[in-house]
Amino acid sequence: MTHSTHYLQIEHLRKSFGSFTALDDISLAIKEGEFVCFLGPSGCGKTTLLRAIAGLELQEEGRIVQSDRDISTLPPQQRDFGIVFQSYALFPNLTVSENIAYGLANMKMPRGERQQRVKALLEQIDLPDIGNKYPGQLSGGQQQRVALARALATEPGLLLLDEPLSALDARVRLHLRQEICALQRKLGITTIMVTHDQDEALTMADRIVVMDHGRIAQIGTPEEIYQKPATEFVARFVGSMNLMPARVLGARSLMLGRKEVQTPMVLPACDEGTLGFRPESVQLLDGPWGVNRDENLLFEARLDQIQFMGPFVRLEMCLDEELPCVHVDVAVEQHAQLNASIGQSLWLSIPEKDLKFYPAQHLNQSKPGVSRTAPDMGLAAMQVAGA
Amino acid sequence: MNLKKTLLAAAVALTATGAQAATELTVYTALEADQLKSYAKAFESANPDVKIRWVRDSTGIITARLLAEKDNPQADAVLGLAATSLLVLKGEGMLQPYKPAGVEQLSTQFVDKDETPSWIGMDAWVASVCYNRIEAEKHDLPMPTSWKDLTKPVYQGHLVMPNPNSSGTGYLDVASWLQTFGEEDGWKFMDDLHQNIDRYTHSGSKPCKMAAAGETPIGISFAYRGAKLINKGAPIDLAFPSEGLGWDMEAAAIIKGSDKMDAAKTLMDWAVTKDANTLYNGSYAVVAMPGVAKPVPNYPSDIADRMIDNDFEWAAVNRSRILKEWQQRYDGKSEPKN
Amino acid sequence: MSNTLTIAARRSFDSESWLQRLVISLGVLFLLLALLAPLLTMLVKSLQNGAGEFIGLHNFIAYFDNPALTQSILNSITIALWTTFIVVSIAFVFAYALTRSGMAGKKTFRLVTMLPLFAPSLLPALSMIYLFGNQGILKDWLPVESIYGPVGIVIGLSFWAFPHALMILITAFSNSDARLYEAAKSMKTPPWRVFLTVTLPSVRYGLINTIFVIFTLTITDFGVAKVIGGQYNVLATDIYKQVVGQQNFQMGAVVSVVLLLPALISFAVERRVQRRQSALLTSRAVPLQPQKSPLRDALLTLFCALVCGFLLLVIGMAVYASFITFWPYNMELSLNNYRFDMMDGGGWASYFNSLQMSAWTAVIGTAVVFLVAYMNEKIKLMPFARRLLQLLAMLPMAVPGIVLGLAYIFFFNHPDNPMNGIYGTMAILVLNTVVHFYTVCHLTATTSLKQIDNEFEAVSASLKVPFYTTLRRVTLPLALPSVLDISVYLFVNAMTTVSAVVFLYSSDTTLASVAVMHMDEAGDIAPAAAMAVLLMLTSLVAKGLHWMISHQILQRTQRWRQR
Repeated sequence: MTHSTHYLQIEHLRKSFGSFTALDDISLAIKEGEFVCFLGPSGCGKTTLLRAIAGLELQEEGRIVQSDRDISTLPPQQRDFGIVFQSYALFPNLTVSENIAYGLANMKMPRGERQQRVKALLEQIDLPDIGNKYPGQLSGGQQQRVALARALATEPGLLLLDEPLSALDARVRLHLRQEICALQRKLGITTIMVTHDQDEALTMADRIVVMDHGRIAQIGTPEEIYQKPATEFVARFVGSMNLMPARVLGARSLMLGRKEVQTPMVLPACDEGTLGFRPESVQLLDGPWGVNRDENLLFEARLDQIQFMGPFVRLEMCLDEELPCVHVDVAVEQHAQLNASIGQSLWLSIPEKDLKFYPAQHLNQSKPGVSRTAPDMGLAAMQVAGA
Repeated sequence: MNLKKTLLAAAVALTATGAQAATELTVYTALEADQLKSYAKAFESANPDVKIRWVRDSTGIITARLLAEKDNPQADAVLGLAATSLLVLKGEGMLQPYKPAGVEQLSTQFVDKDETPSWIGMDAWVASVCYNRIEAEKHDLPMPTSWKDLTKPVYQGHLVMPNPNSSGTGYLDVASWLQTFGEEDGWKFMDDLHQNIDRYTHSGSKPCKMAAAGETPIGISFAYRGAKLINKGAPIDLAFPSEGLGWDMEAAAIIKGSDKMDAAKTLMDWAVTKDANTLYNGSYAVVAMPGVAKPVPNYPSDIADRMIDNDFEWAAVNRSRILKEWQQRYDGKSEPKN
Repeated sequence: MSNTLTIAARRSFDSESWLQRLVISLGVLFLLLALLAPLLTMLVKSLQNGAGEFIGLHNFIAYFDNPALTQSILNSITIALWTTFIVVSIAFVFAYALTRSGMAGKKTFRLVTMLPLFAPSLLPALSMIYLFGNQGILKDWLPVESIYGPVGIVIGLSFWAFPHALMILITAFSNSDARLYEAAKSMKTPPWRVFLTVTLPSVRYGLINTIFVIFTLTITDFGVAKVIGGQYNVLATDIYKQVVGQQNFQMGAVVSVVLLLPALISFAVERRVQRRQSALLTSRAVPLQPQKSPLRDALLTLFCALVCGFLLLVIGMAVYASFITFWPYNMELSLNNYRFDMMDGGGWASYFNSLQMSAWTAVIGTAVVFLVAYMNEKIKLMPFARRLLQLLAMLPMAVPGIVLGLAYIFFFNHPDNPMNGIYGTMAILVLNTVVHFYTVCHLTATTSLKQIDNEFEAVSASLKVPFYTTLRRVTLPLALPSVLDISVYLFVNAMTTVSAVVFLYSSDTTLASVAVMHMDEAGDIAPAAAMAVLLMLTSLVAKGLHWMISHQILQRTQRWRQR
């Protein structure tokens, strides 16, 4: 075993349920004190990976090393982690104090010390007076904080959070995000959080692991993931992205629908692919003048719809009837200046650095017969709504 | 938390049924429920070191159980089971021959003919017909005087008799008819009788009890049950058909392989005593020891003369054939009245 | 899969998971030995002659050559179809009235309909004798000549099966979605069309389920047909006759196999239906608030009152008759019929045996059922063994009591069986009764365990708390209400069951329910009714105690349930 600076090291993990491959050759290393998010739609394997780290699922192949100890085949009891679930999983018949002290009782900690620890933890989660209440008497946010305190009570080396905020309503969720982050930074505990909510991942994580169909699609900081999505899947999943099927005509020439456009970058050698750019990276122009086509992609489109979104305005533009609409986000003042009306044609300019092109073989990498993103995400949304 | 331990402990607790000071003798019997207490009391006061544990059921069931348990016998002895059944068991080699002290005093026809008898008789019980005066009047039914009378159309749907497959009384009826009328006429008689039968019951007492309760006007049963019910105030009379009454012996035997042989022998010795025979006489007019019997209330004194000359060997050897034939002919019919 | 196995084998030694494996294995072993092995032994017996030699299908050929025996198949099916038709129709309207109408007194009606659950199935049959027998008080009302036969069986079984049908149908009706009715109303759909297009489809699966459950219950019943069947033979009574009357164990096994078939088929269909139904339910349904409608409600009230009146009449008749000195010639009230010691069946001792047997069944059965269900539901080890466990746990539902009883004789009385020591003891009665009623208990336990968060085990593992501590401190207290339900269900059924134990009691372990049958066999109908009434009262008292205890315990230990 090679000594490494990584706290948790996962090597070539593989796991399937019957014919369904949940984890497909996953390798990953996490540094001590890091906050890592596993992000992906439901069924992508993120929860299975978390449960494998906890020992709740047993992988078929591969190794897990936690602080230089091979824990691959250890049962959960012999690993070192605390866990928080979406359902809180608080014991409803025990009081908050009893819940938090549940794991302490086993550590042969003297009663007085135990009480001290529970008290300290309750203060840490900002709920000092609820020790004698039952979980059923608390709000969802309070319950989740108690669950967090219970997981931290035994001072584990690793904190695992399985969609901890999904069951909460939006306001509580935002608040708890900050609270969890603050607590994590304060304690310096290595933390892995599973989520299907990209905002959550982007705001909380030091690093994000985007997963798709049992594989890691991309690992990177939130900025990297957002700005340089490695695959079409990541692009589609994180933030909103205009994605348009395109045929490659030459090194710098694309066919978008029935229109040929010049690209500022050199295209890879392939027949087809997808062109992607974010709605906010588009600059709207009255005409094709004054734009350097070596640095920007430029094309014309018709304004179909205007949606007021609060801080910005989303314009739905039609490039070609055969293509999906292009979304363009502009600041409210800019929109007022533009004074565009529906049906009017405008020119769209996108700088080279904001353009992505994904050759078609990326698509072929995904498993056949499984429909992507849209239905999956629908399912995920439904599950959350149902839960 | 240990499931197995719990189960084992429970099994042990459930199996242990009290400490045993005296030898406990498991005795299978088809005696009437109301006789068991007095019989056990009489035996145990004479033999305080042996305690009787009765297993009671009707003749057919006890016979069936004994045969079923042939490879793993549960009974030590049998007391008060039809001799025809004991002959079947003897044929299966399940009886332990033993000559009780004092067996010579019994009438020879009440003892197995072998040198060392495999069974000994206790008493005889006799077929008779229970006739409910009140119900019979309602339906205008005359008191039958012969078996043949019962096949008359007037009785259609008003007769109940025991099923010979389960009831010893039922079998002695069938066996006696076949002996009295001959095989062919016997079955012919039963074919006719079947037209009138409302129901075949499981037990031999039930037809008489049903007659006593007015559920049926006429029940083919046995004399002891009728006499008891008359004593209880039931509005019934006993009819004794003129062709002669079928009968069977209640008998006793030791089951081969019993590990309580001494106690079983004690029981056999007691079963042939005068005291025991006096006790049998409480219920039955004919008992194994000559000169003991005294008249039983509401029981005809001349009953011995009305009994047919019963061939037990024949009844036992042919038992399974007759029962099969009977079942084939009558048991499956859903609506005997049609 | 082989990968999984090698990894699992490589898994470090871990006493907790070995304990779990042990308990799961013991659970499987328990059901294999107490259920599957006896049934297989019986299957083998049906292919053997009296001497134990293999003779192929000879017994079956002999069986089907005997019209007297095969007639019973038709009889059984006839009885089951009629009873199912009557019971399901009545229960359908009754359940509709209870869930969808605005009629008053629903609680009382519901309570009365529960009563038959506490009576042995022999009680309605005995009651039939006093109501419609030759000396019955309502004999003239009977449209057929004699109650002894199919009519009596059908009425008696209808009484007994009614609450079972009602329970399933009430659940089915309760699951309906008010939004559909509002939609129909907003489209001005006439009520009859709403009934046909919304109501009926929404209870469709419940209805089919009920039909199969009632069919299975009635085709396998033994007690009612035994008492009131007269010369009308059905399969269950044939088994009894073959075994006890004719010593023909092989033929008993053959009839058992024949009876097992329709029960198994009906069971399989019911399972399929159930699976599809659960997939159909949506979690967003809005419960329907019953509306008042004076004419309909009045008619339904009348209907329910008539049904309840009949149920009470049947029970009341048995109670009344049990106090009559000598029906019909001495109508003075007395306790003579309660002097069981002069009767067949074991007397008062059998009553106390029944109490003891039921208590053991309740205690041991609940422990075994709950532990097995817990392992099956919450422990993710040994997936194959757990699937087998689940299958075996569902099987007893399809095995008629009398078949199970006979199978026990074959298996446990075999001289080579090391367990034959329990033959003739209380232990075999308890074992048999636990297995006989296993499925419903297992389902109850599983349902309540499913409602408990699946992550509790994971949380405790992460907190290094052994699973049994969490089982004791959390899971068991949470599931306590259903644990109590299971124990009282087992107690009541152990008290009243006849069919499974009729072959298994010994003279030390005579049972009251079997005594009812024996007293009836011996013609002592009034004492039989008296014992049946006593059993019903005991069951009701047990239920009452259960209610009080649950109430107390819930008050004391389940404070957390109150918000």
